[in-house]
This record gives sequence, C-alpha cells and structure tokens, in this order.
Amino acid sequence: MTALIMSELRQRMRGKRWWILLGIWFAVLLGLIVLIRQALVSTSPDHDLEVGVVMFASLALLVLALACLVVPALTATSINGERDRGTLAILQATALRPWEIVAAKFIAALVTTAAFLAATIPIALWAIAEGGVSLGKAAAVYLTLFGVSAVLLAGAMGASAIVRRPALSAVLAYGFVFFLTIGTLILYGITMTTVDYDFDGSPPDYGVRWLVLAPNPFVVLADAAPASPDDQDDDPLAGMRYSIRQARDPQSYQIQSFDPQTGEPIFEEEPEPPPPVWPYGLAIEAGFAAFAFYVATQRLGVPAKKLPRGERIA
Amino acid sequence: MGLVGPNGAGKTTLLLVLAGLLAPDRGGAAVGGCDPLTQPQEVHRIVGWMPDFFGVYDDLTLREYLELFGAMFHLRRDETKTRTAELLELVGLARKADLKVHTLSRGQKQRLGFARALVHRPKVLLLDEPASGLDPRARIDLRDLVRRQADEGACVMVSSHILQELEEMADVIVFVEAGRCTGIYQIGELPTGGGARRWRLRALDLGALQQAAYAVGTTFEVMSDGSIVVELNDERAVADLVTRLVAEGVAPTAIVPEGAGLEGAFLQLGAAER
Repeated sequence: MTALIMSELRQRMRGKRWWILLGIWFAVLLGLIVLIRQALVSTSPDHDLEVGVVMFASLALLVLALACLVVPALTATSINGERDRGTLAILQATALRPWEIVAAKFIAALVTTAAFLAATIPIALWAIAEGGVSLGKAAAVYLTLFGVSAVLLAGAMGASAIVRRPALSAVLAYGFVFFLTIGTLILYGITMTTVDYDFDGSPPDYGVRWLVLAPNPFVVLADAAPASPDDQDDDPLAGMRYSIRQARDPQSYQIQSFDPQTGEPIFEEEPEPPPPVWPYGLAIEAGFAAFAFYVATQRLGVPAKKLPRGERIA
Repeated sequence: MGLVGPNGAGKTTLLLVLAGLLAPDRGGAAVGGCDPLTQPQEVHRIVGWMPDFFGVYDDLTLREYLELFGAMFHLRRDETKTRTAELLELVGLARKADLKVHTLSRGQKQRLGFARALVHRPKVLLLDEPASGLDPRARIDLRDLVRRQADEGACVMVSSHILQELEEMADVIVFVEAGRCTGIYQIGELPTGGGARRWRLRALDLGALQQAAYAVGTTFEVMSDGSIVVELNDERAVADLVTRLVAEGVAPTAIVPEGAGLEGAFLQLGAAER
C-alpha cells in the first residue's frame, strides 16, 4: 500500500499540471491578502484595528474557499480516470484489497492537499507577524482546514468511484461541495421560516435547526478557531462563530439591558459560554466521508458481481 | 492452453472470471485449488493476468513500474529489485529500465505488461490476446517467452483469434463460441475439415510449374501471382504430386497448406454454429 501511495505521489509530482496549480494557488492567495491588508491599513490609519487578526481570518476563509475549488479538481477523477486508462483492473488483480487501493489514493490526495496548505504557511506567518494571532490559534485553524479538506476529498473520491465518466464525477464532486457550502445555508434558511416568534421578549426557540448549518465547512472552520481574548469584534471568524452559537443557544447571548453611560450590553448574569458547534459539524462531515469511502470500496470489490450496462472491468 | 473464438465469444470474460475479477452469473471456477469467487486475494497471488487492453503509468520509469507491482504483491524489497532486473532482461527491455514508460512503443509496452504479469512468479498465467498489435518479430519473441514460462512449469492460458499463433504456442486448443465451449483438442488431433486441404505450390519458373501440373493430370487453380493451388486429401498425396512434378523436371520451391489446420477447424466450427 505504501508503494502505491508513493507511486501516486511521484506521478503527481512529475506532472506539470500539479506545479502550475500550486503556483497559481499561492499567487492568488498572496495577491488577495496583500489587497486586504492594503484595505485594512488605509481604512484604519491609526491602527486601532487588529490587522493581523483580520488578515489571518481572511486567509483561512480564502484558503477554504479555494480548496473547495481545487480539491475536487485534484481528486474527482482519481478512480474512474484509472478505469479509463485501463490501469484500475490491474491494480484490482494484485494482492491489494479494495479498501487498500481506496485508502492509498485517499492518503496520496491528502498529502497533496497538505502540500497546498503548507504552501500558504508563509502568508500565515506574515499575518502572525502583524500581531494578534497566536501560534496555537494558527495551528488549530490549519488543523481544521486539513480536516475539512479531507472530507471534501473523500466526497470527490466517492464521486469518482460511483460515476463512470470523469466529467460527470467532477460535477458530482462539485455538487457535494456546493451542498455543504451553499446547500446547507439554503436549507437552514428554509427551516428558519418555521420558527415561531413570541413578542414578549423571550428568545425564539430554534430547536435543532443549527444542525443543518453545522456541517458547513465555513461554519466548522470559524467555530473551531480558538477565540482570541482581545478584540473579537474585528475577527471575521469570531463573528461567524458568534452567529452560529447564538443560533444554537439564543439564551446564552440574551442581553438584558444596556448601560446608559457606555452603551455596552449588560448581562443579567455573566453568560455561560455557549457550547461549540464544530464537533457536531465535523462528525456529520466525517459521516459523509465514511459513506463515500464505503461506497468506493464496494465499487472496487472483486470479483465484481454486477456491472452497470456498458461497463467493462478491463 | 489456447483459447480460440470470434470476437465476443466470451474469451475475455472467462479470463476475468479465472483472474478473480468478475463473478460468473452461474457456476463456479477453480484456479490452483482456490475459488476465485470466495478467495479472490489468494487467486490474485497465484494468477498472472495480462488483459487485452491495459494502460501503464506513463510518468513512471520501467523499473519503478515493475517495482510498484512487486510491492503490491507484497514481495520483499530486495526480492522486488532482483525480480525486476530479471524480468526486464527476460523481455529485452533492460536497456530502457530508467526511461519513462511513455517512451515505449506499443510492442514494448506489451512486453512490459507481460513482465508485469510475471512479477510475482504466478503459477497460472492468463494472457488475453497478448500478441494483438505486435509485429511478426515481436510475436515470435512473445511466443518464445510464453513457451519458456510453460516449460518452467507455469500453466499458461492464452486467448487469441489469430489462429496460427496459438497453433505454434499451445498444446491444447479450446474453442469458445457465444459463451460456450465448442471443442477441446490436443494440438495434433485437430479436425482438418473432412480430409481435403488446399496446398499452394511455387517454383522458380511458374509457367513450367503450371505446364508440369497439367502434364501430370491434376486439377489446379492458377492464382494471380502465378502460383498454383491444388486440393489434396492427405500428405501422401502431397509427396506423390511432388515426385511426379520433379519427374517432369520442375522442382517446387514451396508447398504450403492454405489456412493452417486450426483455421480450418475454426471455420468449420463457426459454420456449424451458424
């Protein structure tokens, strides 16, 4: 299995496409971050804004957004592509078991994804150097990015196992990404139409509707990022985290009154920190990934019982 | 063992079942004492399978390619290395060991695929149309390679629709048609098609050959290139004809049966099916 992983990686590294993609990836991210920094510095010349915090949060969100584009492109044809080239059946005829083939392809793709993430580390270090972001927070965010990418990857690989034609499996892989990112948002919006609002000031009961939003990769990312104690208002990640946790537990953010002098909200009692959402989100995502893995393994099982019409083993 | 049949007869399907890649709709199979249905992994270890159409990993070198498959059959690293060198030598690609696979010609890729099928020293070799697309020279090389494997004790099953090729390679010929076995013959016992066979004769002076044939009183056909074709019942009749032609002063330079024995048998079987 190790040999197959190494060979997958070796082939990827030798292809020009891979390096071009990596170059574009880095250039686009760097360009965007430079622009964002310019915007931040020029709008707040006296530096009351935590430039580093915003830069880092923007980077994390942009990396995830681009990963949503790149990851399916790297993996959506990994299995049916081999079938097309007539190399898959030969793999199936070796002593490797079906799950080992799937796992090898998955791990190779995961390493590739890690390389893409690693390429952004210099930009992250720049943001950290601007201040406001601890190394621990940065590490946690990268870990989350990696985990979420792994889920997207597994989905794309499942698509490449189910669908015979590479073009269609790419569509399916992007469909999965679309479902997680925008689909959950739409679904959440729909469920929100059924909320009953009382006008006596008590917070509405959203029930478990937050679970619909939980597997959204951006929600997971923002929610899993550790809060920096100072200046949360500027951090886009903190803003998202606040929203999702409020959706889960409106009570905990219930403001009783405002201080007449400062305008600051006064909580009747110090609010309990609301429980995090990301473990649920990640668990749901892991469920999708496990399902994709299972399906892919089933599809590679030999001897094949039934073949879809018009399909050949070799 | 040679597997003969027209396109779509089920040769590839049979080989896929034996290679433990496809489950039959009905019935079972046994390969080297293992059941491909219930013990596919064991069967994979016993069987070296070379499909009729296969791809290679273009970006790997020949050596890397073979070593990859050695590792996937769980050979030890040093074992893989020596086996790879051995196989590259065997199929005559040793000089290209460190070139990328995509630089190979079709015939060379075919030989690499053959080496790949041998990497784990299989006891059973399943070769699906191994000679398709090869030039005559490469075909002869392949035939020798296959025979050598058989001599070393491997059970070899070759499918082809090129009949002469199998006649030269196989000890037993199995005819397949429309998913069914229509005949199993030892190579020497192939039906010849009811006795009479056509023989083509050539001589230095084709005109003189035609005259001599006329003189000895056989019925013959003159082909477009001037050679003649005679219908004869057995080899005794051939020897007889040659003696009489020589007596007429014409020495035949070539006496070739038209359509090898297998082809005759094959065509006959096909006709019976229809």
